[in-house]
Amino acid sequence: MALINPRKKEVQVKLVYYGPGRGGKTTNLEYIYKKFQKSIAGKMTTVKTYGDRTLFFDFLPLDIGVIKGYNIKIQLYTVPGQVKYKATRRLVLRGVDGVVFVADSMALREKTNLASLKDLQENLATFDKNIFKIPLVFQYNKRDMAKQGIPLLSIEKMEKSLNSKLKVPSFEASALEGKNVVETMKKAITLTIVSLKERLELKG
Amino acid sequence: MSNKSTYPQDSLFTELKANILSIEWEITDQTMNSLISEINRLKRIHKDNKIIYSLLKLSGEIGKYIRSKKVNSHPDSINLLQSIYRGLEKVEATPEITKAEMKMILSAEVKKFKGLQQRVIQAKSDVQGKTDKKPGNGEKPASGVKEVITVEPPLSLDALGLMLEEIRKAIRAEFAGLRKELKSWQSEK
Amino acid sequence: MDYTVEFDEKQFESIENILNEELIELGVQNVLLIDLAGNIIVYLDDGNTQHDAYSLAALAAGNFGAVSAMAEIIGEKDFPLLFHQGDKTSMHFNKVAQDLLLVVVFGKNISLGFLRLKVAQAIKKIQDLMKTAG
Repeated sequence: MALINPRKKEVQVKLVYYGPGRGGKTTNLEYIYKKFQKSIAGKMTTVKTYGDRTLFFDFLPLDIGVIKGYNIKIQLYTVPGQVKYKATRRLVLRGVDGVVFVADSMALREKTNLASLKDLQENLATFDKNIFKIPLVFQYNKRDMAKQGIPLLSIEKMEKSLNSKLKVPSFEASALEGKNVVETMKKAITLTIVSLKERLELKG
Repeated sequence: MSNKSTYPQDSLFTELKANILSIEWEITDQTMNSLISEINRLKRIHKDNKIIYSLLKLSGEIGKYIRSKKVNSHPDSINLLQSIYRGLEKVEATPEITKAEMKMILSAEVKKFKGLQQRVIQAKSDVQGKTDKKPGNGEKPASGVKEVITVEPPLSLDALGLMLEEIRKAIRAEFAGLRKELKSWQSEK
Repeated sequence: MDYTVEFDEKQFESIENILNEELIELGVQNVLLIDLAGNIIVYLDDGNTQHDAYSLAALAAGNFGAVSAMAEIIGEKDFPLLFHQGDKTSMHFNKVAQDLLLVVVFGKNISLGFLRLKVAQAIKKIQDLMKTAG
């Protein structure tokens, strides 16, 4: 949950990038890290395997400025996407305020996307959080693969498959090329901050 | 925790080392009692070796102080305990060590001990000065540093002071003996 | 309840004072009070050593989360204590409440046994503070 420090006039918000393995979560963060060097409160921290897959999480703190008199710090996290790391994903989700679901647009990943979304719902539930209520944005990543002739699901199909009930904002993107990476993040941050509005206003 | 012991298996201070390691991890009545017990046992064994006995006695008094004060002990007291132990280690591990070298080790520790004593007194008078300003304090108001010392429970400071005096006497006696020896060597040449 | 711990301004200040008195004055390098989401509640340093506190907090929380999960697997309720010994600098972690972690970074000049006494004292004071807040 977001930490509001009335003494320092600071809010720390946790945004988690979720999704199947090799979907582009870490790539999103790496792009953001390169692009926003001067707003980065610290370095990008990664805990990886030798094969360069996320083992524990990636972490990137961002200062986004002042809102309602509070200095807002966004803590961006990714989770390891591989199926075997479910327990790890759960503990990284602890205290989450907003989620970016990075879905893999490759046609053969349709089932993996769904499994990962279900996994998110289950893990959120263990913290009494409802996937229908938490600030959530979809990113349909790897759209650039079409150029290589790799079969992708159409945006309509992805929306139907993943977003028909949730009906949350979505972006088609290419994390590798940086397309819509920042837009996805901005939307997720906006939704998250708005959801905290009430708490911020109570603090005065 | 890693244990970089250069000891042979049958060192007389192995048990003491184990106790020191215990208090490096945890300071409780149990660990302190065990340490003080071991120190007392070693004192009985080494009662004829003035240097070792004095070092053990020093560490025993510090041990009692820490046991009594625990979290309110001066932080340097633990460091001094470890330093004295290293002194004991050195004395035991160096078979060719001279009496003069042993005395140097002892006086170095006694000097540190005196320094600690000063800092303990100073810390207490600082605290007393602060608490005096607070209203409704149950303690007797102190008018100066001297009064502060006497108000304190006797165990820590008086016992330390007495023991310090004993050690000083022992050192003086040893040095006097050493001077005599040196003079006799010089006259033989 | 969406959140598990919230402090008001006065409590933040009291906690800072407790940690300053018990730990910074002892001579430790850094003290962090964090929640298990990785947020920093209080960060104090000795004026000489600054670390990337945000990353430390994220990693400490993740670390502790992993440790708690392992404890559950072997049938323990929790492992509330962690200690990492370094060559020159070490780290000590202690759970304060259900969702709070106290992290202390300290050098070789500090006795761990003594630090643990101070940590226990600081934790008690913080817990008392949280109780009176209700």
